[in-house]
Amino acid sequence: MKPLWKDNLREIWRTKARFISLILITMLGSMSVVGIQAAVIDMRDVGDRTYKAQNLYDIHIQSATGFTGTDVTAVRETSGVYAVMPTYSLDAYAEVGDETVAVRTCALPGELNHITLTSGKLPEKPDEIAIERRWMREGRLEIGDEVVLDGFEPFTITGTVSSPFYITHERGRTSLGNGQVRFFAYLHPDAYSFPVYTDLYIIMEESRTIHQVSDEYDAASEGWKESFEDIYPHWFISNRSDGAAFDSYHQDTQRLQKIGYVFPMVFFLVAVLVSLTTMSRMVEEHRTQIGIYKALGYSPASIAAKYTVYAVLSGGLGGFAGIFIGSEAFPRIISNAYAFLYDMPPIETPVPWGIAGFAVAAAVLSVGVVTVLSVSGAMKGEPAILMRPKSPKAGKRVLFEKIPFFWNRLDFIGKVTARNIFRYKKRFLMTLAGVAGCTALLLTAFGLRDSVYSVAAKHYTEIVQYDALVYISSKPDEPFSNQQLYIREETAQIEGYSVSIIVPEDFSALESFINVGSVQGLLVTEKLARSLDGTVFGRPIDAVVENYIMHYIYMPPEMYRDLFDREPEPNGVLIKGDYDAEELTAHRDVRAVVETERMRNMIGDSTEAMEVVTVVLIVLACALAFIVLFNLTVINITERTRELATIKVLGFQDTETAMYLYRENLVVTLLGIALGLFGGVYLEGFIITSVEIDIMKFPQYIAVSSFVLAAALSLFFSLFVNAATYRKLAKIDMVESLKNVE
Amino acid sequence: MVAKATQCHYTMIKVLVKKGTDLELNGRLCYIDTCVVNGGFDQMQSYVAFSNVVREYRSGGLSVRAADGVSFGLEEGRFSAIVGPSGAGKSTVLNILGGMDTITEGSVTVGGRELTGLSRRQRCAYRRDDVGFVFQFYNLIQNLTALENVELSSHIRKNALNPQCVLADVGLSDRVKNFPAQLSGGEQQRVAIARALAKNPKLLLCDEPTGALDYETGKGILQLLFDTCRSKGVTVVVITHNSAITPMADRIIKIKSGKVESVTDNPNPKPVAEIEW
Ligand SMILES: Nc1ncnc2c1ncn2[C@@H]1O[C@H](COP(=O)(O)OP(=O)(O)OP(=O)(O)O)[C@@H](O)[C@H]1O
Ligand SMILES: [Mg+2]
Repeated sequence: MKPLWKDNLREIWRTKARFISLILITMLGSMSVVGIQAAVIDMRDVGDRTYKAQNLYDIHIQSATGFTGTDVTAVRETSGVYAVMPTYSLDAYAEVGDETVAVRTCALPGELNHITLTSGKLPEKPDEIAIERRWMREGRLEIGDEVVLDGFEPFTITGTVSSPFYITHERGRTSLGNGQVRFFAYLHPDAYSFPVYTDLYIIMEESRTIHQVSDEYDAASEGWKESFEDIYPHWFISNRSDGAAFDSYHQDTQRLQKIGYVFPMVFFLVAVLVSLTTMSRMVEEHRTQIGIYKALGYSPASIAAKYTVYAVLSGGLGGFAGIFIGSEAFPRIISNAYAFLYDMPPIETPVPWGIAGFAVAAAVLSVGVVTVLSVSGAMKGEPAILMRPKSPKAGKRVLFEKIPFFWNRLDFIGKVTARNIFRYKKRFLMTLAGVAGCTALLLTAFGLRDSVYSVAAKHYTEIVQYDALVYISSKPDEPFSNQQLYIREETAQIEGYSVSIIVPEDFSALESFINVGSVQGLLVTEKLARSLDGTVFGRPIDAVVENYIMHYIYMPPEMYRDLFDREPEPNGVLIKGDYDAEELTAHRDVRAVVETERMRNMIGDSTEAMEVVTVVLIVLACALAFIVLFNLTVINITERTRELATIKVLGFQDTETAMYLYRENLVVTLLGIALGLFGGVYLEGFIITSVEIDIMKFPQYIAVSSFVLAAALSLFFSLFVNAATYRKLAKIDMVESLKNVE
Repeated sequence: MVAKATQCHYTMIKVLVKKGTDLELNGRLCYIDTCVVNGGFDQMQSYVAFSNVVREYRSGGLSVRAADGVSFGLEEGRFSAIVGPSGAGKSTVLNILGGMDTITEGSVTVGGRELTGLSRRQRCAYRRDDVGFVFQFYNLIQNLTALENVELSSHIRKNALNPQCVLADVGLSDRVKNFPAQLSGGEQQRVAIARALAKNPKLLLCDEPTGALDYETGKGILQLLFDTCRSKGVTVVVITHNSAITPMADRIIKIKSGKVESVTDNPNPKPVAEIEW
């Protein structure tokens, strides 16, 4: 083996701690970059595979008059169409327990929209039905039981199925009842005695070649929709994005992708910054040795190679470890969290080589280049000059000293600490940046969690003041409660949002049921208002009201009459105070009762997926904070061995020696934490706006406890690292350290 | 002939043994290759006593004996010099005496106190309270002014001397606010001496204090050390390569290959100014 290589291996062995921490830092960096993006890719890919395997529709056409065979042929011959499936569907009331609910029935599909049989068998006769499992459970039904759907003969249940239309709990909207479909069911096509088809499902030729969960698909899909609208203007054309679930699946991955850009970016920067400094420090330390090699006649390239190999080896090892762990573990954890929201098959976890290669290349190149630069910088001098000890950096008066008020109040050790902090500016700034970065990341992760968590709490305690919303078929003879308000609720599509229009019978009473403020008139909720230009339905908006979940427009009855030219017949009642849910449900005029408390819990559940993501981020940020602090402390000790040995000779006890160093670390850590908390607020604000979902506005809210926790964790890691390196301090050999000249 | 003895019989040994005699000391067989005639071998009364000190370095399968059975004594308040060729073990001996290094075998006492058995903490306290150390390359903290460097050592010692006064004593009263980089080598070494003296130590140990200095400056430093010894009664030990310095010392210990070659006393040390080298 060449001596230089031997030297290199020995160097790695001698500086194991540094080498390993470099590996770990790069590992975390590439893990965070690759992991979240891999999760996005894997979740999209599973969507792509699933939709394609199901032959899921691209375009869905409905018509008030239905479709004849001629229509079907015309659509089939439209350019770009790959396949058309005419079929039937019908929404019908069913009795489930005491409740009347809306059920969407579809005919068993042909070549498109494959369903999956989860138990029993598919209907083979017109009087047979396959229902969803949830209905089976909530209605306490079994295969062979009978169910009654309004407008049909009674059915016998043959089995349970899952439908490609429903990847979430959401079952869509209907013109029946409260507007919500509760369950779906599949019938034998012959069960529908219609002369025409009710639905056409279409797959486009182009669709088969593009990724099904992508912006490209969304754009193409809008194009298809428009071209159908041009040809068949009196039909109601919708695409997958109009089916909220598919869209929100895509949006969730987009949200994740945005977190996956911003958060790991900061993460990666901190990691690279620390590795860079570590390497340039190492080169600095080895000035004399570099001089010796140069004097011995080694070429600059071969000397630089030693340090570059060290950098590239640690960066490469860490980078690849990060890729494999990141692309395996992250997608599993994250998709597992989303499994709660979306009914999707398990993901596959290939390594996303594009991003992975980029991450490793970026890390290795930047650290490698800086290493080469610092080595060539260090090699500038003549060997003789290099081998001579570098004249020690002169001490300087610090700015602080010029303010006698502070300076005179410091004790001796305090003065020493202040001097040392300000003297080593580069190290000081780097530690500051490292600690601040980690604290900011921690705060961001905690803050995200707070925001996501607080959505339900904020909405259902600060905005919603009523305790239940009761949907009614007609006004009851007697009021349900002494605190109640009749409303009319309708849904509309505005700016791509599904919006509830609420028309209270008495607008002045609304404020005590929903916190809409004191302005009366046309009120629009925040997020919706942002995409409007100050008017809606051609009227100026009177006020924008705070809101976190869904979108609402509140208007007085007069305006409703004016706009729609009809009476706002009440179809709901807002109730405050005590009520008997069972009694209400049993009431003749009541169709459904929506309890605020239950909604609150449900929303809480659905934000759980995001929470898992934030927990992943928290764990990552903690790991980074720990390793960065460890690395910085080790560098600090290595660089100042001589100084520390000197004070040990003077008779500083181990603890005093440690305190001499730790005081500085502590001051810098505290400053870094303060800076990091400050920066974290901005980082969190930046990320939170990019992760909002359509129906939710995440409040930018960071709990006091999160500030405390982020600061405490950083501080704890700092103290822990100091404690862990105490042994290293105690082990400094005075004789060895002071033997040679620097 | 083989003489049997224990430590407390050194006085007797002085009478009994001659150079070249085997001596069994504390049950161990030793070869006496040095026999000091003109006094001072009476280690029982010596302020500093090294007896059979072995310091072995082990690395891999190799072992090096930096000190290989070193025995000598030093008198309190005297100026002693340790001389010998490079690699002889001079620094090793001084570091052991300064409580910076531990020994493999033998015993070292200072003022009747055994250093061998001291715990880490006690050894540190010993360095703090009893020892002042001066290095060839000063080892000042670059980031502290001259005064602060001195304060660094007085800070941790209860009966410390006033740092300002000590700096004045070494002739630096007008440079107290300067940083090391703003001082000449000789001035830096004076700061280092002041730093060692501020602790009011019993022992002042100097490892080649003039090694990095020119002739005149070196002389000045030696004069300072000598004066300190005489005026304050501090026991001073100086390592030097330069045997020309030896006439100024009360006692000269010559070390070679980890062993004491000779211990010579100098009844009339020459003043530094008269020495030429
Ligand atoms: N850590 C160590 N490991 C192995 N051997 C060592 C170690 N330290 C010193 N030695 C060896 O011990 C011997 C004595 O070293 P020491 O530093 O005491 O010599 P010295 O007399 O002070 O020399 P110089 O005048 O050159 O300073 C040398 O041969 C040296 O190689
Ligand atoms: Mg030496």
